[in-house]
Amino acid sequence: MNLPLEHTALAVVGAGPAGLCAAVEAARSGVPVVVLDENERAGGQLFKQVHRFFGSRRHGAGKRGYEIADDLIAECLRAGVDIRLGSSVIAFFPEGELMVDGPGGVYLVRPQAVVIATGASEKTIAFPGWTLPGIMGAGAAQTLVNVHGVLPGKRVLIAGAGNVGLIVSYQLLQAGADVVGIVEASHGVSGYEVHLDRVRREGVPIYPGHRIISARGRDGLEAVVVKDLRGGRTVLFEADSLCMAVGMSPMAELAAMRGCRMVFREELGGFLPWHDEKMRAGLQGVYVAGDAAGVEEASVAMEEGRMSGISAAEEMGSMKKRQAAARRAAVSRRLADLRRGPYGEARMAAKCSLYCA
Amino acid sequence: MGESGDIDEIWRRAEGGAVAILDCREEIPCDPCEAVCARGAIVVGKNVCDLPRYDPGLCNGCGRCVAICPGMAIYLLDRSSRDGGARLTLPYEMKEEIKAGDEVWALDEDGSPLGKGKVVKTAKMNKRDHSLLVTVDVPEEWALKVRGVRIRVMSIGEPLEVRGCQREEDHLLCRCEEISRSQAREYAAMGFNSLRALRRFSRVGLGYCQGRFCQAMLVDEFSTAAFRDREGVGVFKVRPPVRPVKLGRLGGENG
Amino acid sequence: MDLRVGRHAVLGEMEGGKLVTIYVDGVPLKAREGEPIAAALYAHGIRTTRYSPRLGEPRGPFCMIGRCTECAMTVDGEPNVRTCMTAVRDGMRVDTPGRPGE
Repeated sequence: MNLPLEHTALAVVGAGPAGLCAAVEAARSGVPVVVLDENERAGGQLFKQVHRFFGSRRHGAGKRGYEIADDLIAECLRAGVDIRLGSSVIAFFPEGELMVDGPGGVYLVRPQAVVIATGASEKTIAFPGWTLPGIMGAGAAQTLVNVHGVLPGKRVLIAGAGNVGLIVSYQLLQAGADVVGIVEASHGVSGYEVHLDRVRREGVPIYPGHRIISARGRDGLEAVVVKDLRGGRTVLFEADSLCMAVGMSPMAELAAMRGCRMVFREELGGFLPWHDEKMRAGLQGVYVAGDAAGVEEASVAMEEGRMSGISAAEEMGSMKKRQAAARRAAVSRRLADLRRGPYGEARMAAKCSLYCA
Repeated sequence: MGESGDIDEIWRRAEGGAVAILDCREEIPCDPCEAVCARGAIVVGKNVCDLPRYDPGLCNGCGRCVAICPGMAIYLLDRSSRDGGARLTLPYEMKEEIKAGDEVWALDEDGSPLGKGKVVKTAKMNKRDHSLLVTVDVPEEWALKVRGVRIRVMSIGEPLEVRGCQREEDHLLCRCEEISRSQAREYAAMGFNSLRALRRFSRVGLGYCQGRFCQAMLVDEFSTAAFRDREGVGVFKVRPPVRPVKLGRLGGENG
Repeated sequence: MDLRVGRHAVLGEMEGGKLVTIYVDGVPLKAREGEPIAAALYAHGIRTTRYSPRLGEPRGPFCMIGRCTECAMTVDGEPNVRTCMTAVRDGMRVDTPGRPGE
């Protein structure tokens, strides 16, 4: 196997909010940057988000997800970042080389530093019938509706009342589907109240303390059987689609393959590569950022991306120590702000447990 | 008086024309309303998670905050019309088109229709997309209750009660290699208490998805069955390629 | 069954691409050029993309981003093509692997 080999300064894997921000920071300080992404479009999951984002103005709040993506891509291009789409990074060898499956074939990249910003994957729950067609991840439904313009069904049941479940419910309503309910195994709604308010005012019933028992159907989903954990009542929802929004876990296989230590933090979605406050993953020239480093939200991913880009630029000698320290301090402050409030505290504590360990 | 402004003052001021009502009650990181308010009527301040402080006395009813609020939690109330009704301006992002002159359902916070209102005006929320600000006339007694307007109201019905006890059935954990939960428990009982050991023995995690969809569930299953913490159970060893690639391409073919 | 969104509340008209014909298990089906095969099938209410090899269960698109491979079908004779990642072309032949009775 004799594959073409290419050298570069910084390779960023993943062109989502974290990866694009990492690329911009590094490129602006003069580091040549290549961004590799398996999709045909940059922006990661932002481009299927048709809702306006929370966060501060700095993170594009008030804009819709796909607009934020467009802005970040434009910033990258202005900074001279080489964004390569349709390019899957299929391996990150312990020697530090990346194997890329790109439009022109498979090749190797040997970078001085790598930022792993590969995002998250959807968790699932298993129950009898969960393999029936019509049952899919909430993110899958979002892709189907908001990118391809096709509904996952006419009557949709949602599993999970976190932000993703609530947002996807709203987006399905917007596209013309009926949402017959949102079932949630825990006893409360974990998503933001404003997201909850939006689906409630559309008449979507919320069923906290309800667990899915089974899914029924011959060639595809026809009904979902759900048990009320308190009352003991069992009910059946007629539905042709069930979307599971039961959380995400960091997708950091490349970090694991490279040899990074994987640690478990429930509050951040499960297993993730250990990293410090500068987003260094414990191995020379390896950085992580965004959901791959612990599932949070897009504005946090952007700041972590910036952090990793600054750190990489500094360690490659393109940014002076003092300047890097000052910029990092600013990012740290913004991250601390984003992790405040009733929703952020647990994530903040989990991140701190990494930095301090 | 709450941070979102005194409702009596808003009610009074609305007699003179449109004034914003903020329905923002939770500390989440969000501040675009502050930025778009040219009058300084809405202030979030340094901490992005703080609730906005709103002074209705400074509001001129321009509606920019209504158009920018990601939570769709701001609307305008105008009681200046002499016939005693209330004129509301609400954000609208549903599929069915609404235009001036339409009769629309006015919904309360639970999605229950209060009745019909008449659309007097629609405006694009911004230049970039198709969302609308809809201005609708409703009876005064609904003025503080209406949270949305719709052409179509869902009729989904109640779920049906199922009688008889539900026996716990077995089901698949690994979709690709079709390995059931009971099989996974048998493996745990045999002493395989890490995912790496399990994969050497069975085909779990070797299928199409490379364990991406079953891993978290297997970790939970094994950590419960083997009384081991999750880091002890560990994750599958990651092998290249992490995405399916045709073997020929690794040999340098492009096809 | 038509599951196409058509005009979207925020995005406006979503149906783009030339109308073409693909053949699903030999049956002609209208699709939009450039959309993923899985989306074209779903738009017509065709949710099953394969049958599982051991139990023969129907399976359908689950992740829509090329990771789960539940949507792998035989496309123009080539097996295991992820249809959520593969764009429709006029005249394409798409077959459902493992269909019972084959």
